[in-house]
Amino acid sequence: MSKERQIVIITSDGDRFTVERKVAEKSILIKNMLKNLLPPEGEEPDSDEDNEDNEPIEIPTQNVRSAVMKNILEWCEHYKDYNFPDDEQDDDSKKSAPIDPWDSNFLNVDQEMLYEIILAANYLNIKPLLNAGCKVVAEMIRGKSPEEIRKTFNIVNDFTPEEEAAIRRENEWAEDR
Amino acid sequence: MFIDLPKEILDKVFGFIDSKDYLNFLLTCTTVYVKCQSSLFQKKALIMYYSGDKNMVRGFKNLEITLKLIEILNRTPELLSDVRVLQLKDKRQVVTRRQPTYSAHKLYRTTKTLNDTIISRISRFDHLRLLKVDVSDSNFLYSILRSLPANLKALIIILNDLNGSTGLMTGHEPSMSIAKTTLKLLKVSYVGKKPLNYRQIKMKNLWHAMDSRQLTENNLNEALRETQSTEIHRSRFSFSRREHNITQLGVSLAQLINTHRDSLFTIDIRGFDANIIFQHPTTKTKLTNLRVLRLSGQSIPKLSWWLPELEKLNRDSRPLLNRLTISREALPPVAVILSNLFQSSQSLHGESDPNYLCRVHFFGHSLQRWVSLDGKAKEFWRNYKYPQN
Repeated sequence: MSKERQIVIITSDGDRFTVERKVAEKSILIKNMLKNLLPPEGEEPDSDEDNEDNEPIEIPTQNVRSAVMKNILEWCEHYKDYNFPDDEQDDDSKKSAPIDPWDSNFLNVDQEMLYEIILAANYLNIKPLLNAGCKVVAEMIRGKSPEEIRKTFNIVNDFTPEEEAAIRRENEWAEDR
Repeated sequence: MFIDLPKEILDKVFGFIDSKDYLNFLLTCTTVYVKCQSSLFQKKALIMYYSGDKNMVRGFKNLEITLKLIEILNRTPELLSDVRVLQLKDKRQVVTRRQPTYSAHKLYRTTKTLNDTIISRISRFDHLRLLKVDVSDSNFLYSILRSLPANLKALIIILNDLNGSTGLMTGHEPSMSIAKTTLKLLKVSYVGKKPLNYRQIKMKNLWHAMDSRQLTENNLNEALRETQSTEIHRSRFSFSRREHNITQLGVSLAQLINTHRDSLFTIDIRGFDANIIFQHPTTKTKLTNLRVLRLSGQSIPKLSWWLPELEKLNRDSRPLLNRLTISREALPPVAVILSNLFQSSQSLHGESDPNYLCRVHFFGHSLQRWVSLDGKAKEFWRNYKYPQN
């Protein structure tokens, strides 16, 4: 039995991470790439391709820097043996499902890192991580006034009081009645 | 920075926040507002109030909001495509603390055309998935049925009491040109105080129908059916206004089912006898995709008048629903459910109540039996979920 080919993920700043296939395949983007390069997991490669078998497969990820990739791979390593269900849940059950405590702890990082993880999860197509990240941000918004939300995210209010009042009037339909 | 996140990510975050926080989130800054305003229309159910009764002068607050909403949609018509859930509420049901304002007369004049304005826009909600309509006015309902948007998946009709000056009877025959959509769920729920029934059958007419037949349970049932059918099809002058309304309603809903015979997965009739709909010949058809027919207790007495024929037409196997079926067990073509779960808006969530009764009949079941699921109705619905594509 031939040895499994190495998968090397190269970050935007040139760092190289060697990972197991099932860790890398938590990213649907990488999984689809590997589909074309490797036989399905558990199957032997064709013998006439032996000369390429020892070459590691390099996957460049130009949008993800090293520090972020390290976090992403930690998440993928943690869930490598877990099969996430397909998108079978309807929106409501997805919305109401609580954040996994491990994810919550994992995403307890500074805001900039959190956004970068979310963006990387989006780029690499890791939906469970993307959802967890967005839920963490949504939690930061829950029950807060516009001013409190601005404070949380360090946003400058560029509405005049008249504009704010006009928007409130215009979107009165969206208030829970 | 947070506001630098792309729109697709902000939309995703928006999808996870509670609806009560939507507006506060949008009001944080112009960037968020511009990026996410369309999400508001996607995520939030759009509620429009219409004037079921022109003589009522209450509920102005909600009508004002509806008018403002229409203005926004006129100004930015592309928002129509963002709306996924639309609820049309009859303003008569609205209890409002706000008294009519100085602009009441002006608003009153405007609301005269409000129904028409709403109806004229319905078909333009081209990505609308769920439409929920509270109805007391038959013309309004029939106009809605003629204008359903093409991609609609679920239609929920809440029928209110049909009595009163604006009850269903108007002498207007419902049009048969019901809009064809991709409707999968049809739920019709009657919430009026007075039962939605025809008058009791006259004994002399029943004896006439019985004629020389021997009195048996089957004969009596058949005679009752014939008698009612005769009475319904007799001249409209012998019908009370209410009965005429009931017939028109039944014809329209039967036509709605017939128009969507290839797409309907679930038909849910609550609070009134489904015979009002299924007595009409247009429902005697193969409903290619139907999986569940939910009925409430009111349908039990006349079930044998229409269900066997529907079963005969629909007892063949149906293709598997989809690959994501949660339960590994498959159900036969159609399950007819009679349950007191459906007599009120009881939730399927929460603790199981042993008092709930549920009886199920599967089309094509060799023993033709009703299976009792006493006390386990909720578990049944949890485990035997019919996911929709």
